[in-house]
Amino acid sequence: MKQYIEHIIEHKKKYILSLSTFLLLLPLLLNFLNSKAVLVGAESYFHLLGFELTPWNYVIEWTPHSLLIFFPLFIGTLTILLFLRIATIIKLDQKITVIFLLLTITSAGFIFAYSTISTYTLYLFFVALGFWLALQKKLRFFSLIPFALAGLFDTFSSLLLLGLLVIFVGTKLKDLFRWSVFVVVGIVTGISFLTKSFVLGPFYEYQALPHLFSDLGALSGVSSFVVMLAIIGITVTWKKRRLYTSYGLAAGTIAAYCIFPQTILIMTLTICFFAAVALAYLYEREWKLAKLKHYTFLLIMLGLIFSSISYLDRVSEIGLSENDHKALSWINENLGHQKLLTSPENSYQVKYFTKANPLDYPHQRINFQGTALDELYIRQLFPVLEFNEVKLVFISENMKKELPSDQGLLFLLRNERFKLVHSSGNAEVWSFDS
Amino acid sequence: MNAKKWLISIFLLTLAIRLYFAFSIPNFTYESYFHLRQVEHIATTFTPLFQDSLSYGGRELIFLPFFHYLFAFFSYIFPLAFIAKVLPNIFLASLTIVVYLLAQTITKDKKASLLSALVAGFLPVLFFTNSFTPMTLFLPLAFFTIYLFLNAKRKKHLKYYLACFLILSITSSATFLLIIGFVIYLLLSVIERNKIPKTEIELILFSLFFYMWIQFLFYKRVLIDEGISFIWQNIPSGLIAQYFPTISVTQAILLVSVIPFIAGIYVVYNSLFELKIQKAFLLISFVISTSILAWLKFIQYEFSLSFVGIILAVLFALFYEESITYFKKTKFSNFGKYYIHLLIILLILTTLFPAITAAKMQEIPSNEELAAFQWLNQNIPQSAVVAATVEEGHIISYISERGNVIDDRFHLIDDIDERYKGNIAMFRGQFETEVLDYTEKYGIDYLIISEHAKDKYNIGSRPPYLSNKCFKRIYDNQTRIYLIRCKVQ
Repeated sequence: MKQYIEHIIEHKKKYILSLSTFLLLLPLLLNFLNSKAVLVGAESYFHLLGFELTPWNYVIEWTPHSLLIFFPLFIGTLTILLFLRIATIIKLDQKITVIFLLLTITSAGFIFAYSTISTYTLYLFFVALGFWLALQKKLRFFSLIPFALAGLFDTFSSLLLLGLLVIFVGTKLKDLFRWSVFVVVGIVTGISFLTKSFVLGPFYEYQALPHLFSDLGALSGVSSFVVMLAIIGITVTWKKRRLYTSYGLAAGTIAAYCIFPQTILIMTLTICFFAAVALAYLYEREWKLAKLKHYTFLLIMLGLIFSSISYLDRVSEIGLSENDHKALSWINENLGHQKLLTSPENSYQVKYFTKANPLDYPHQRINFQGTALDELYIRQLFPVLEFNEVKLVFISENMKKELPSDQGLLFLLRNERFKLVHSSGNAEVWSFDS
Repeated sequence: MNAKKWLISIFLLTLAIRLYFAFSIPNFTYESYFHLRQVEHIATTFTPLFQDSLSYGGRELIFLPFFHYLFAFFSYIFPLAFIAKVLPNIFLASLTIVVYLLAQTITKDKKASLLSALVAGFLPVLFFTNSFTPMTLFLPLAFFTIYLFLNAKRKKHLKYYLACFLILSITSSATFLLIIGFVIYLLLSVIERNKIPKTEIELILFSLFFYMWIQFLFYKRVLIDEGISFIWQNIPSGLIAQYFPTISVTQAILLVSVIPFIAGIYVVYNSLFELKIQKAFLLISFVISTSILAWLKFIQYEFSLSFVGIILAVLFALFYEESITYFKKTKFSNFGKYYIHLLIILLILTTLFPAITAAKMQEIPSNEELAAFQWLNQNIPQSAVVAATVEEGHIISYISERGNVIDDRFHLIDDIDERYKGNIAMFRGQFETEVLDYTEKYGIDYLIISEHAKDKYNIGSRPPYLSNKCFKRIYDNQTRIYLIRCKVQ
């Protein structure tokens, strides 16, 4: 086992970059082969529609659409490279670095975020770039640019950056530069606090605990094995004083995740870090039962590989299906700017691919659509539709599967005021006679 | 007479009484028929029946198959009907030996350990003599594994521990109780500043990851489809209260027996706050973990009582040791030699009779009901679907060899609540059209109303909606079978 680990550490760049490229290309390829939109995820379309002014707006404007789908992969690769350079410069334990990166790139959180247009992917790139520049003697003042850009997403990301700077700048650099960084980031944080939401989103109906575990069907998150390792990592490093600031940051991240589950990528990184610490500790620890050590590590590897493969197996089921897109194309070609009811997570794609206007969007937290989908009687549903002048209802294949057929919207569609105007497979478009 | 002979006597006495009830009470408990069918399938095809064409009219089944493979192997030597009654009772009777070994590890007192064995042999909650389920193997094996863990310093015990844990992991998902117990044991040890042997930590780590890996291997689809609610096994909302009832202390005392219950609580309190017996900590950790999980409704109440009951039986040895030490310090120390006799009499009175009552109160189909299901096998088309109560679903698959509408394996059934509501309507419904809607949706051809169904749903001879026009009675011998003739227009 030792020789394999040393070989991987020696050629870490090669292995990590090839693995991450493969894992990030695979979802794009699968979506392409299934005739689905290559970019999935409600958050991707939130940014494509430009609902909030973030650095993503400029990237989307300046990047040709055909290359945009590869942009998350590109910044993911750059972020990993930057992190490797930073780890070398600050002399971070190589074992922990490699394990952390391997755990991160094989996690559902990383794969999902970096195969879609996600707030925190670009944020992490700016943060990594900023820290790398800050560690270059001649280029350190240039780090103010990416640090300032990193603070332009939402208040939470600015605060997180401030926290990282407190840990990093406080121990590594003590000069005018330190103060400049704090002033710039502080100003940006203040602007963010006054003008932006605390955390962008939500883009789905999130639940903190179920969405944390990719093994339990979550779109994102981490494997249960990684969570278990992270718990071990916290317990074994509990007494290490130099990690206390990291615990503070981790506690903040966990608290933020519980309230804002859309920060799952940051949570993923935190969990992977502690899991990496645990794996390194278990590896270096002297085991009384030496053979058991090998079997335990084998089980952990098998578990992690199994979780990743299991996630990749269902990654092509994420997002709207081919039939859903056919239905949306039909809406785009045949219907105008009408108000439309669908499930909240479909709102962004519907808006992007058609001229129709969904009733509301998850990030607005109005939840008209969610409420309408839960109504059991026409005397409750019709006033909502009439008041909002809804003319169309879009039922995706996923909605058909998840909503009950004997009550709620799918049952109420039998009413004569609804007319089925188009269907593609199980995806349906209904008109509502208001 | 030495301790070994006494132990064998207790084992044989327990086994004899169990076998007496197993053979005098005809048939098996309702859930046993699922496992019988799986054993027969494995004996024929060497593979478990993961794709079942009869359950729910066709579905994917996921379960851990070691128990079934074991019995499939034995079925080549003995008739299945025979070993299905004998072996589970041997397994449960062997708890007396396992409990003796555990008690001996903690107290080193042979008399105390024998008393524990006696308690374990007649725990009312374990006296299900006609049950053919993996629990009958899981419980003795789990406690044997705990015994091996406590003695893992010896290389032989270590190897046996690994083998037993492997078997446990592929016998029942309830192995997670051991994992949670181990975790609480580590926590308690840290709080009490007890040094945990390195071998124990390493065994716990290995066990944790091995268990997780096996469960993911088998239950991947269930975990992805059901998410975190897999804990509640996709049980229909109408049945949740039955599977996870409100904890009743009175019932708990009755099922675990009053003396072991009180003695166990006393020992747990004492061990946590006064005595510091490291080995007792592990058992107490299991009591705490099982109680918490039962209170949070993560595990079924009866199962948690079984597990806790056995631990209380082991801890009874500690109680005896302490009480005899205390007794010797009192004025009545001269009567100390009668103390054990008094205890034995009290234990027999408080455990044996409740155990016998528990055996007699097992939910088992009668011969007449099984005859009705057998009649279905011979007289209706092969592709027919039969509606019965949830418990009788497996009997339809096993004896009638026909498709059922619902049984108690709820995983991966999307419309379980709908099915269950419809199933209730078939027995309690007021309107024929409501029922015919359900029968048409699930392609139900026959309805069987047994005495069990009548008692359960408190219906007279027939449900009120039944009309002769749509429901033709084709079998009538206490149990009635109806052919469904109508469809909703």
